Amino acid sequence: MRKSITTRLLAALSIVILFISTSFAVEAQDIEYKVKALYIIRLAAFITWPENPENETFKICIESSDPVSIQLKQSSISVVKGRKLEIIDLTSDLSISQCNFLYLSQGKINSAITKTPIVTVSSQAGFAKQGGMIEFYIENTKVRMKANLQSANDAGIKLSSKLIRLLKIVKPLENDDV
Amino acid sequence: MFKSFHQNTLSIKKKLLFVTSLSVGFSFFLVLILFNYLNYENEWSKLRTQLTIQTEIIANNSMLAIVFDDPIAAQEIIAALKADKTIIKARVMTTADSVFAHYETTETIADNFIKDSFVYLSEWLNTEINIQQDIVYQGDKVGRLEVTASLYHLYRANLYYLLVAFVVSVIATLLTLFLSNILLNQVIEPIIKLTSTARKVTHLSNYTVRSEVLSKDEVGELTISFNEMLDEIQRKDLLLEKTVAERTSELIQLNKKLQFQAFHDPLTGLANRMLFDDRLQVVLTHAQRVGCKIALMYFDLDHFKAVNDTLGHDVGDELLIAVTNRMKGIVRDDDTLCRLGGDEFALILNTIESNADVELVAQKMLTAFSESFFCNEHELSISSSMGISLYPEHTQSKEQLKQFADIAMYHSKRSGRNNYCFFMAQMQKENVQKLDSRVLLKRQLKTAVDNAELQIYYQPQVNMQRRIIGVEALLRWQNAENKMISPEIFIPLAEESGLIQGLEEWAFLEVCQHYAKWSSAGLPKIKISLNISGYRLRQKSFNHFIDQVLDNFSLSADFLVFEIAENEIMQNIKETATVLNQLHSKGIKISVDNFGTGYTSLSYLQQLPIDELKIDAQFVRQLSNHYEKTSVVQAITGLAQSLNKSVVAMGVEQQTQEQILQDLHCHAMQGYLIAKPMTEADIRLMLSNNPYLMEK
Repeated sequence: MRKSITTRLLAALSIVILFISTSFAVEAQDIEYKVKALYIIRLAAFITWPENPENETFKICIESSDPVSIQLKQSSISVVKGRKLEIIDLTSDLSISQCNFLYLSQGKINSAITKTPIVTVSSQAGFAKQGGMIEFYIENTKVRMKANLQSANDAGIKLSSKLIRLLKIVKPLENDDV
Repeated sequence: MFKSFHQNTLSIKKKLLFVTSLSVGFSFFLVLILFNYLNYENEWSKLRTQLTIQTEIIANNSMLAIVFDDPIAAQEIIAALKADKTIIKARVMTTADSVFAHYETTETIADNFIKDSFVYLSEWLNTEINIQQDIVYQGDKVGRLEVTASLYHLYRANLYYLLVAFVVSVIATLLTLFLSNILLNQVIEPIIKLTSTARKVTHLSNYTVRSEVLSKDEVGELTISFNEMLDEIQRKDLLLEKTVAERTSELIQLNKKLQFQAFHDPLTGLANRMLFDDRLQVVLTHAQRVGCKIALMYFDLDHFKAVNDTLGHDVGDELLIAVTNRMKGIVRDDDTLCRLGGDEFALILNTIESNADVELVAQKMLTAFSESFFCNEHELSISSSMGISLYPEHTQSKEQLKQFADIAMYHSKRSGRNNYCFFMAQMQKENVQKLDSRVLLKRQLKTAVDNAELQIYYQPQVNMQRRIIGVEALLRWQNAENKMISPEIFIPLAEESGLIQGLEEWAFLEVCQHYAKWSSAGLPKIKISLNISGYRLRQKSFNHFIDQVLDNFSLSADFLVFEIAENEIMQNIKETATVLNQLHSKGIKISVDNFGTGYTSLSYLQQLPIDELKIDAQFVRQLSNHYEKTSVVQAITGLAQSLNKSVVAMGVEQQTQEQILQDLHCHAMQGYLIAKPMTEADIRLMLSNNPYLMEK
């Protein structure tokens, strides 16, 4: 059986993880971004968007300067959920509302997009609490994810129950002033 | 129990109970075991399916944990397997075959026995189920879930089921035992009844017992048959008892008869010699005690033999009966009249006063004899000679009393018959000698053949031309004291003592041997006449004996002439005729010896195969020129001629006799005139020299 790209990637990842445990910070940083990029792509499989017009690309919107963006672009994965993967620079004037994923390197979430079916992802601490949907964090050198189900719900995004079991659920702040 | 089962000593009921219960129990056990096995198989596959589903779910659930590299989450997911007690181990493996997460049960088995047995079993059997499931993400294998379940719980349940099966089987066995016991009683009871009846019949020998018919099945039929059989046996038993009773009474009658016969003379019904002895003893004992006198009288009939010889035994027997009846009328009731044998009688006179009393009785008897007896249309005058001995006058001994009476009777006979004599001492001397010589001769005769004291002499028979045509074989006895003893003395002795058969056989052998010798010497063929007693003639072995001897010497029988005395040939005429015909068919000639002295029925003479008549010497001796004296011989020769039989004259001693015989056309003669009896050597010489003897 021909090994899929994912498998190969995972294999590579495993080796990389091994590396991390023994080695350099630079490389560790690289791996972290790589893992985050990979996780974003993988999350797609367990997330349901309200509408999925066909013949449309699967869009991940990210600042082109972000290392995660670099890793995404370098990724060999070109198809997600049966659609062509498109990495869109946030700085471009493309409407955000077309994004499936929105990775925020910095800055807070715009209240305008909280009701649109975009999965917001960020590595900033407290991102989920402040209305973001998924927040990457590091625990024991491993990339972990927190989720704000309320936000997802509000945006009409459905996370698979299996995924939810893996995520750390974060309750949003009561005073939603962010 | 097994031992008695094997030896077949158990009762049918026990056997049936045993077999039924055991079968039921065993069947139950087998069926339950089978169910148990099927259940086990079912449970096992159920377990396997369940495990497969569980594994699939867990594998599915743990997929994300691998995808997002979350071993803790994976650990949590597979820890859910804890709920299933059968699962003892689970591992999530990465594609690199490293353990991503694993779970192992903390549960320990408490039950030691079951555990031990299970551990023991695990060495032999596969006691675990292993399920592997690939973990797939987006069509790619990202890991593997391995789940191991233990069959321990299944095993335990199974063991429990087995226990239940065993208990149920035991209960079923006991239940069957209980129920069969009740049901079998119905089946067995008739058999037991039947058995006890049979036993009763055997022990009591009582065939009136019947068995109650309790069922209508085969046993019932058997019981009915058994009862019918008893009916039959009872009937037979009664019949047998009756028959036995009849036979017993017959036997008693027969026994009485035999007892009577043993002590009584069958012809006259008088006491026989045995009873006589007994009575004499009783009377003597009584006389000795009381001191009275008794007399013993012996008497016989004078010339009784002549009656027998001339008129036949039937007449003789009738005469004896007539005499007995007449004597009975004379003697007192308490006197004992006995027949000692033949014409010899004895009379015991009890308690006599004087000799005159005895004389009176004797006289009465003589008077009684003076009247004629009528027997079989014959008037017979017969007298009696009596001898009397007295107790205690002559002797006190019983034996001597008998002996003396006997001596006295002989004395009476010698002194002219028809009288009585009292014993006297001088009679004894005379008698002792006579008696002794007879006993001695008998004794000598017994060894005569062995000692070669007997010899065959041959007397030639010639035809009227004096040519030898045959010889008569005659026995000669020269005893150890070189004394010639006449056949007239020793032949009757031989007949009396039963030696006659041996003598005749010996003589026949000798004759055959001689004849064979003469034949081989080429001597002229002549006939040999041989005297045969009527007794021997009618013996069954006689015919065979002759064949055997002739065969032995390779002789044909046609040289033999058997001479049979006239009075003997007429006895038992039927039997005699058969034997004579047999002999005649062999070629043996039959001659009637002493013809004219007896009584011969002419019709028999014609019927029997008789070839020759021998005129008795007494008639030949009478032959003279006086015509009346020749009449007997003339009559005989005439008869012979008319019956086509040859005539031989015996005892020819004078020329005149020969002349007359020639005139009367007698065929042959023998006597001193021609030749005396001579030894075998002499006759052989004579035959070889001159067959024409004394030819004129």
